[in-house]
Amino acid sequence: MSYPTPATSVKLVLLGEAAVGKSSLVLRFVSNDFQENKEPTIGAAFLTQKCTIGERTIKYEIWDTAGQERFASLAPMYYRNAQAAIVVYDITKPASFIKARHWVKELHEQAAKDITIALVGNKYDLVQDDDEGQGEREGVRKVSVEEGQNLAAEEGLLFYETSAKTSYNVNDVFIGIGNKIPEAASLASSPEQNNNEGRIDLSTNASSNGNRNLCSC
Amino acid sequence: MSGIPKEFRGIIWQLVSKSKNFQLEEFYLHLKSESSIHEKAIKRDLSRTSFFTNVEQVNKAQELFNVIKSYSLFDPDVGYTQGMIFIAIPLIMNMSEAECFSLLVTLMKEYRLRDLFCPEMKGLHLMLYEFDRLLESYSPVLYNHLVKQGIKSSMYASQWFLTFFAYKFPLDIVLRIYDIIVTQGMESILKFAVNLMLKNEASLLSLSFDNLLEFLKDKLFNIYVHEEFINFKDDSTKRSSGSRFSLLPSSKSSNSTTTTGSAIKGQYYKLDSLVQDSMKINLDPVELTKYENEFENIYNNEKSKVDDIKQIKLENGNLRHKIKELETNYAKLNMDHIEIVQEMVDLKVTLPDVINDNEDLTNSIEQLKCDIQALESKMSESPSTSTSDINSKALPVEIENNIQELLKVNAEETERAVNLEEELSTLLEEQNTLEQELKKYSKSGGWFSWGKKA
Repeated sequence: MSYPTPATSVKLVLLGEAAVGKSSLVLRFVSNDFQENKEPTIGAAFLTQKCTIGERTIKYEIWDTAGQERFASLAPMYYRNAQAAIVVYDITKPASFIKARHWVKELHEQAAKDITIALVGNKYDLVQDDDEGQGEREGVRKVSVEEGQNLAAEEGLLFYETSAKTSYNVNDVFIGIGNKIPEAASLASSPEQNNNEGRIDLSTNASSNGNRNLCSC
Repeated sequence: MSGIPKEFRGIIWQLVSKSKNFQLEEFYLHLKSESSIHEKAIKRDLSRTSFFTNVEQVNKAQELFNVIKSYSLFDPDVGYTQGMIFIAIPLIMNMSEAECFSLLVTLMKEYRLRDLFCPEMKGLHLMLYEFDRLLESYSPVLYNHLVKQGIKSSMYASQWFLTFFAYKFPLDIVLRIYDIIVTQGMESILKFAVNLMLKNEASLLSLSFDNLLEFLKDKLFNIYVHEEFINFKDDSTKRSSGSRFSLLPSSKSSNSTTTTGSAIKGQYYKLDSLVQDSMKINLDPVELTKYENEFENIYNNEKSKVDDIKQIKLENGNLRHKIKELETNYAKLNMDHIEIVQEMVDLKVTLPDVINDNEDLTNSIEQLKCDIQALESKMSESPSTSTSDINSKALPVEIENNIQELLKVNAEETERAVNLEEELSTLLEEQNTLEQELKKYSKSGGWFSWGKKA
């Protein structure tokens, strides 16, 4: 309500299989920090971070969701009104890429039509060669850059390979999303009208059931 | 009232819950040696659960792994769900692994903890619903404030219920909550949840979205921190992060409470007040049943809605398919029609020629008939003249032949004319029926414009 610079709020949700590094990406972006064995997220975590891109200041309101399949019934609540989504997979785990495909499909079917989605292959540090930082360690990578690029091209997504551990490309993801979100769109959905401050607005959604419907199922 | 003494905690939990089951413990020894598809996930989560890894009994890690893995085999429908580790830690710290397994099974089955972890997490949604209703009736102001701020209980309370508050809060608190759950049942966790909300009501009402979520996740128990610690603000924050890894409430007292001359030695949290306050929250079983029924209705409604949507989507797909089929059939028919029209036009163009030919032939037949008549009358006019004349006899024969030939040609031409006329009339008929058919199609079809064809 009282930010010095008029920041536009962007609601963003992270989705992806368990242990691909969703929370670590957020921790790197928000606190520029990394923890080797980050706790599994239970339920969901909420964080915010401001980010200046050119003339604009964007305030990311980030929902970091639990990755385990079991928690999927909680996810729609977080992505339903999101303007942006980051779908994360682990480039050393093919199954996580399949899961990412599913999330992209679900987002296209269920989320807002103009949602900006970034596909992110995380844990780049694991395939990176120690010596030069150039070239790749052999055999560790299980999802090729092309596979990621192709999926992104097919579905109209931004695409990055990142490392939350080395911070490689992490900020670029958020800058890329910020650039792709039209100013008007983020303005239109920003605060004022109601007290929600443009956050994940569940009350309007729930009104049909007198505010007491279940989140998603 | 200070909770179950830690030395007896394990035994008392087992006695109260009647979890002791030698058969099950024996079965556990069998399961322990089997392998589970969830093994990798369990190992991975164990290694990143600080609640456990920083605890003094890290050597219990293997036992904990065995218990969780065995449970995933014992109850394959639930398998392994993140959160189960947090539930099992207080158990493994107070009893043997076989007993721990047995108590975990009892909690899951008899205490209905299982419903929270099953694939659709229905039990969790029910508990969140009950929590909402309780909060609404105890503090409508706070409930409305949260609704207005767009905060749903599932955003912060899921992790309370799935881990018995162990996800973010210190072990000594969790153990006391565990005592109550074991003796009073799963629902009693709602008492703690609602009490915490009510005790923090003033702070919560003053906060908006971001800060609310942060407060709800990390700071709810601060209200139960002993006053003596609150004076040392920096110290207390350090303590709160450190104390969650401590096994025994008394063991940590030795570190930092030496400065306080208070009678309550070493208690960082006022655990007794926490429990006493929470027990004041009344859970009317009738109300709870009512809530459960309401929830059941809502749940089923939502479910049938989802099913309906699926059904409608399917039907829609089928209809789309049908439309496509009809459209291709229609296009084919249209092509046939065009072909036939073309043929008809061609025929119509050649028709005048045929009619002309026919007329010409008829004329020449007439002409020939006249000639024959003239010849015949000539013959009858001069019967006497050289009746024996060979020439006169030869001539009529020749003429006769000509006539015969001409008559034959005439007959053939007439037949052809008749055939052509017949063909023409059948074509006209065909055209008629086709036009009618087309009209019918264009009427029933409706989505196709006819263009030049009338």
